Amino acid sequence: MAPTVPSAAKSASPSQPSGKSEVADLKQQLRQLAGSRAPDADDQRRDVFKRVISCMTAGIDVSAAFGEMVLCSATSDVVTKKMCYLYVGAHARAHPDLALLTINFLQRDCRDQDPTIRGLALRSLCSLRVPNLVEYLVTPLTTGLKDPSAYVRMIAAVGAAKLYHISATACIDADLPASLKALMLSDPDAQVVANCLHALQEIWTLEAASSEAAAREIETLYSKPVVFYLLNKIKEFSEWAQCLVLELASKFLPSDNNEIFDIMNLLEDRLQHANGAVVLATIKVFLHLTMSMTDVHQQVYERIKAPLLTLVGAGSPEQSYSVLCHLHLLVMRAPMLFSSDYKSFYCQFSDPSYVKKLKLEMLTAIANESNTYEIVTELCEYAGNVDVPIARESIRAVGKIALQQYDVNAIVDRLLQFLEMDKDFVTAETLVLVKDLLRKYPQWSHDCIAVVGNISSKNIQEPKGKAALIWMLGEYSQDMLDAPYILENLVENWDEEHSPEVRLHLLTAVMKCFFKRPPETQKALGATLTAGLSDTHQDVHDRALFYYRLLQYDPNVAERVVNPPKQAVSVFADTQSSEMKDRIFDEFNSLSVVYQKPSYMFTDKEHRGPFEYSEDLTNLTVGAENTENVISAQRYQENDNDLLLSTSDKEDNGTRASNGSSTSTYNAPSDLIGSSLISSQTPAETSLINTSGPTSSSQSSFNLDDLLGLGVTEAPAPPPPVLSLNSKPVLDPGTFQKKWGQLALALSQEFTLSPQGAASLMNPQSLIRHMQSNYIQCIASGGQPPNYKFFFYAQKDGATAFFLVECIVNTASAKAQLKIKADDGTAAEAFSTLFQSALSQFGS
Amino acid sequence: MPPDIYRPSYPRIPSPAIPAPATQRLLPDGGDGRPPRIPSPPAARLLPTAEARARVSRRPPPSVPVAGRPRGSPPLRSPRSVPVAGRRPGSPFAGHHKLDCQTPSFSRHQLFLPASPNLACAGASAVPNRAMISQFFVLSQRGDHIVFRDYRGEVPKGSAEIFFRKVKFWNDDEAEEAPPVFNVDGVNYIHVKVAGLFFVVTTMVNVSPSLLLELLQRIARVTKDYLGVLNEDSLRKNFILVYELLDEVIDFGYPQTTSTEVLKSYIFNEPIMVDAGRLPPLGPAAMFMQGTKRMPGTAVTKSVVATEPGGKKREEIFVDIIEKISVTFSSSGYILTSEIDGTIQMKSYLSGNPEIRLALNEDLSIGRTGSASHDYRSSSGSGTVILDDCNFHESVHLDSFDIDRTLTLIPPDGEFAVMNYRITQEFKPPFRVTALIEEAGPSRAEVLLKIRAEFSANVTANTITVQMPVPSYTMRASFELEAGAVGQTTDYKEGSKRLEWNLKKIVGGSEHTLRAKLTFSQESHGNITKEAGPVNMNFTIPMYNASKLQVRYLQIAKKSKTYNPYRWVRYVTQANSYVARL
Repeated sequence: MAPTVPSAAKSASPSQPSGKSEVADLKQQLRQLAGSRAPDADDQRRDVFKRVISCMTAGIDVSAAFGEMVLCSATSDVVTKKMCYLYVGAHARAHPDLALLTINFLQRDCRDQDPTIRGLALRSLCSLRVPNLVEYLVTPLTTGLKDPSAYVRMIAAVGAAKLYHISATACIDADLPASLKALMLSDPDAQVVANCLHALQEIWTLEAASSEAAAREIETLYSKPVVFYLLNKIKEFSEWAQCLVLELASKFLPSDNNEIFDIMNLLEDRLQHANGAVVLATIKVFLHLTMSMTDVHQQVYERIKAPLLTLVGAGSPEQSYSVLCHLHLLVMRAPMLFSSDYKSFYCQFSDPSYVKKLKLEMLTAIANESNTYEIVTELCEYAGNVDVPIARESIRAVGKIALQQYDVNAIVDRLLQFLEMDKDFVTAETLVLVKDLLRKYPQWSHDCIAVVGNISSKNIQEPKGKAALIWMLGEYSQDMLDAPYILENLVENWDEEHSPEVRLHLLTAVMKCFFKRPPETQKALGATLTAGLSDTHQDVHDRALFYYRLLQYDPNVAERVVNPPKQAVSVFADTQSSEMKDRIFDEFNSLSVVYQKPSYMFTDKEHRGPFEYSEDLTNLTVGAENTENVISAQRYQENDNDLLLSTSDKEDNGTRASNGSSTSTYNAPSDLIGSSLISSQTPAETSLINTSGPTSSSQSSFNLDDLLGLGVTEAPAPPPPVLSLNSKPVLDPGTFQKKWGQLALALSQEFTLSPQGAASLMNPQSLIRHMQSNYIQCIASGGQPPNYKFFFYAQKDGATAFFLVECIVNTASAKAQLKIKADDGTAAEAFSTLFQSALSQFGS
Repeated sequence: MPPDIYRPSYPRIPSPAIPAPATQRLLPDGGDGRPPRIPSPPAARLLPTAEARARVSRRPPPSVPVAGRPRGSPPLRSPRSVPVAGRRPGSPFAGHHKLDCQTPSFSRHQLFLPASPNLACAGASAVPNRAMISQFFVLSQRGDHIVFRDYRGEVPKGSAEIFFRKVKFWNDDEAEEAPPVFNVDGVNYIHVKVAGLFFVVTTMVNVSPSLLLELLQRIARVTKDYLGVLNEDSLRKNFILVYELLDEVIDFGYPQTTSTEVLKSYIFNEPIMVDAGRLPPLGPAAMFMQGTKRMPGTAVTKSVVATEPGGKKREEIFVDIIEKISVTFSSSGYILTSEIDGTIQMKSYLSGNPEIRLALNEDLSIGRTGSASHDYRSSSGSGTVILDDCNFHESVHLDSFDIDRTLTLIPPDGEFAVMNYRITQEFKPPFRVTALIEEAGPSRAEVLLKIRAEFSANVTANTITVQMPVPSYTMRASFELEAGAVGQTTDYKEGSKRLEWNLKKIVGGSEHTLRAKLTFSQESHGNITKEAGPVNMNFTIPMYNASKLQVRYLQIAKKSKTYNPYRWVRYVTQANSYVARL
C-alpha cells in the first residue's frame, strides 16, 4: 500500500510527508541545523524531527538520514530528544556503526540530574538492539536498578529483559536476574515490582531451555512466599500489573484448603472491578484453585455469573465480545448452571454476527425442560431474520435442541412451521434437521412425513436440503404415496443435478424405495443405475456399481444390506473432544478461548494448522452424509478408466434391472466385476451382511473399499510380531486433533525412565529428536521442568493406520504417563512396546 | 438452585499451624524490615451477599442534606455546610479484605512443588500467557498509518496492511464484520474501533484478549483526555504527543500505566487543539451537544491537561449517568425482555484531587437471585431501584456504600467509569412502538408504524431512527407522513430491503405515525408478517433515565471557603436494542 497520507494537502499539517524526495530534503535541512546556534534552532529542529517521524510512520524509509539525525541529537529540548530516541531506536539495528555515535549522549543522559531524562535515556539505550553495544548497557542498567527514582528503576527492570534479548550471556553474567529478584521482593514501588516480574518471567522462561537452575527459579516464582507477597500488595498495583499477579497466582499450587480460601477471600473484591481483564484473571484463579473441590467450584460459577454478565453489557462491543467468549466456555462446561439466565443470551439487534453466533450456541446448550419453550420461541423469531447466516444458525439451533430434548413434540411442530415460511434457505435447513430428527426419533415420522410430502423438490435448490428430502423419500417411501414418482422425476433430471451428494442420495433412495414398492420403482431403478454407472463422479459410479452387483448376486441379500430396519441414532458425534475442551479451559483468559482452540494450534509455528473459524460445532451430520471427503477426491484419478469404460453401455441397459437377473446385458468391465471376483467374495460378503450393524452409515464405508478392490474381507490379521514404522509419516495437527478426539484410548501405561534419560530431558527438543530417530514424530509439546507433555504420532509401515501418543514426563520422578490411541487397536500393544523401548534408550 | 448457594465466605477447614520458615533468603519483609509474623486465621471476610446488602440499605437517611433533584437545573452545587474535608479517615477500605499471609511461612520442600498435572502441565498452557505486545498502531478508515510503534521487532513487516485487508474483506459474501481478535499466519491481531479509527495491537503469544482490548480502549481514552477530541484530524496533528504517550504506556510490550494523572509528569508535548465545533460529535458525551442548549457542549471536548486561553483552568466536574436500554416487544405489545446497562461516567477537571462523595438512591438494592431474575414483579411501581449487579472503578471506596449508598472517591484526572450496573428489573419503556403490515391486493402491502413517547413533556428525545425490514421481493415503497410533520425523513433502502424513518426529535407525550405502501415484484405467498420485521428503533433521550437511578448529591471536599467548583450531573438514555416484533 502507499500510505502517502492522502489528506496531506487538506489537513495542511506541517508534518505530512510527500515522497522520496522528502527524505533528501530532510537530510539537507538536518545538516544545516546540526551546527546551528541560531536562537530558533531548537524550534526548527523540532519541526524537522517531526517530519522525519511522520515519514517513518507512513512507512517511508528514512534510515538514510540516520547520520544527520545523530548529529542533531545534542539538544536539551525533551520533546526533540524523545523524537530522536524514537528514531534511533527504530533504525539503530540497520546502522550499528552509526548507532555507536548515539551511545555517548545516551550515556551522559543516563547520569542526568532529572530522573525523567535518566529514565528516557536508559530506555532508549536498551532499545537500540545492537549486539556490539552491549558492553555499554550493563553499567547503566545495574546503576539504574539501584536508582533512587522509581521511574528509572521501573525502566531498568524492563531494560534487563531487553538486554537478555540482545545478549543473554551479558545479562546472566552481570547477574541481573538476581538483582531483579531482590528488587521484586523489596521495592516499595508497585510498578517496579511488576516490571521485575515481567522481566524475570521472560528471562527465566527462555533460559529454562538450557539451564536447570533457571527452571527452578521459575518454580520459585510460583512458590507461596512470592505469590502471597504479591497478592497482599495487589491493590497497590496498576490494573495491568494486577492481571500479571493474578495470572501468576492461577499457577500457584496451594498446599491446603486454607490457602485456597485465604486467596479467594482476599481476591473476592477483584470481581467487582470495572476492568474486565482483572475480573477474568481473578476468575481464572478461582476456577483453577477450586478444581478439586466440586462444591466450591460450583459456588464459584454462581458467584462469577453476575459480574460476567455485567461486563458483557458494559464497555465497547469488542470488550464484551471477549467476555462473552469466556462466558461461552463456561456455559458449555456447565450449561445447567446458566439455565435460568437464558434471557441474557438473547440476540440483540445491534449485536454483530460473531456475537450472535456465540449466543445461539449458548442458548442451544442451556436449553432444558424448564426453558426450552421460551428459547425455541425466541430462536424461531430469528429464523425470519434478514441476516441469513444468523437465520440459518437459528434453525440449526432449534434442531439441535430438539435432538437433545426428551419432549420434542412442540419443537417438531415449530420445525414443521418453518417449512411453511416458504423461504428457500429456511426450507433447506429445516429439511436437514427433520431428517436428523427422524434418525433419532423415528416415532415422529408420521407427523413429519405428512408435511414433508407436500414440499416440491423443485423449490429446493440447496444440495443439503435436497439430499435430506431425498433421503426421507427413500426411507419413508411406504408412507408417502408419491414417493416413487417423485423419485422418478428426479432421476429423469439426473444430468441437471450438479451435486454428487444429491445423486448419491438419489441412488440409495431409489434402491430403498424399490424394495418397498418394487413394481412402481422398477423402471426408476433401472434408469438410476444406468445413470449412476455412467456418472462422472467416482463415488456415485462406485455406489451404483455396488448396488448393481448386489442385486445381481442376490436381491434378498441386497435388501438386507441396503434396507435393513433402522436403529435410532442415539448420540450424534460431538465434534470437539472433551480433552480439547479441558485444554482450552486450562488456558482460561487467553486467546485460546476466543479461537476455541488450544494454544499449540496457533502459537507453535511449526505445527500450526490452517486457521479459520470453525463451524464444526453446528455440523450435525456424520458418516454416510460426508461423501465429499478428501479421500474421494484423491481417488478420482484411479477410477478414471472405469468411468470411461462404462459410459458406452448406457443404451443397452433399459431393461436390465429385473430382479435377480443373472443374464445381465450389462457389459461390465471384466477387470472389475468379473464373475470370479464376485464368487470369490461370496463368503466374505455373507459374513459381512450378517455382522454389519443396522446403521445406515455402514454401507457407504464398505462399498468404497469393495469397489476399489481393497481387501474388505480380509479378516483383521493377528498383530504382526514385529511392528515396523513408516519413516516419514505425515499427519497435520487438525487431523491429529480429530483423531485424538474420535479414537478410544487403547492403552494407558506408566513408564519409568532411566535416570540418564530423566537427566537428559532438559528441554522438550532433546526427546523429540530422539523419538524422531525412532520414526516417532512429535506434533506438539510443552511444559516446564519438571513436567513435560508431548503428543507423538507414528504410522505403521505400509499402512494408513496411525498411532497417537500422549506422553507426560516428570523428570523429577523419572516417570512417564503414556496414553496410546490407535487407528488399528490390535497393533497398539506392539506399538507400545516399541515406544517404550525407544523411550528407554533415551539418554543412554 | 437454592438462592443462598453462595455462602458469605468460602468455607474454611481448620488446619495446624504452618511450620516456621526454614529459610530466610526468599522471605519478603514487606519492605519495612520487620521480622516475619506467624499468620493468624482470618475471619469471614467476603463481601456481604446481596441479601445482606439489601438489608443494611434500609437505614434512615444520613444527616447530610440532600441537594435537591439533580435533574432539576444543573449545575448543581452542594450546600456549603457539609464538612467533607474532615471525612477522610485514612483509607478505611485498605486492609479490609486483607489476608493473613503478610509474611508467609513455608518449608523448603514447598518451594519446588511439582506442577500439578491438572493445571500447569497441560501442554503448552504451562507457558505463562504474559501480556507481550509486539506492535501498536492506529489506522485510519482508509488504512493509512497514523501512529505505528513496534515494541519487540518480532512481527514480520507489513502487518498493518495484512490487518487492514483482513478487516476490510473479512467475509465479503455474507457481509460479516471481522471479530475483534483474529490470527493470520501466527500473528494475533486485536483491535477496537474508536471514532472511526482502528486501534490495533499485534502479539505472537497467547495473551489475555480482554487485557489487550481494555488496554486499547484505555489508550484511546487517555489520548482523548489529552487531545480533548479524538478523531483522525486531532490524532494526525498530535501524533508526536501520541508517540510520547505510547512510550510511557507500553514498554517492551508490557503495559505500564494508563493513568492520565501519572502520565502528566512524563509528557512534554502540548496538545494542538482542533476545532471541536466543526467536527461531528463522537462518543457518549457528544449526545449532550445536540438538541439541548443546557449543556456546556465544548466542555466535554476540553483537554484535561491543556490550559485554557485565559490561562486558568475552570474547576469543574462532570458526572454522566448513561443508560443503554434493550427492550423487545412481542407482536401483541408485551415486553418480552428488558435490560438496562448503565454507567456512571465521570470527567474531572478539578485541581488538587479533592475527595468526592457521590450519593445514589438510598433504597438502591443490589443483587437479584438467579431464579427470580426475569419474572417481572408488580413491585416495580414502588420506585425501588434494584440492580442485578454492578462494578466499580479502582478509585472508588465502598466503605459507606452498604450503609447509605454513597461512593467515596478521589477522582483521577480524565474520563472514567465510576460504576457500571445492570438492571433486568422491569421499567417503563420510553416508547411504545406499534407496527402493522397488511396485504392490500395481490402484490401490494401497507405498513403502519406508530410511536408514542411515554415520558414527560419537558423531555425531548432526539436523533430517532426507526427501521423495518420488508419482504425481499419489495420493489418500491411510497411513504405518507402525518400532517404537519417537521424534521422527519423517510427512505426505502433498496440494498438492505428496509424502510427507514428518521425523526429529528420527539417531545414527551406525543405520538407519530408513518404509513407506507409497498409494491412487490411477485405475489406474496404465505404469511407476510413472517417476511417482514422486526422493527428496530434508535434514539437518544437527554435528561431522562429509565432506571430512576439518581445521584442524590455530589460533594466535593473543600480546600477553602471560596472553593466552589462547577458540577454537572447529566442523564441520558440511549437505545441499545429496541425491537418490536410483528
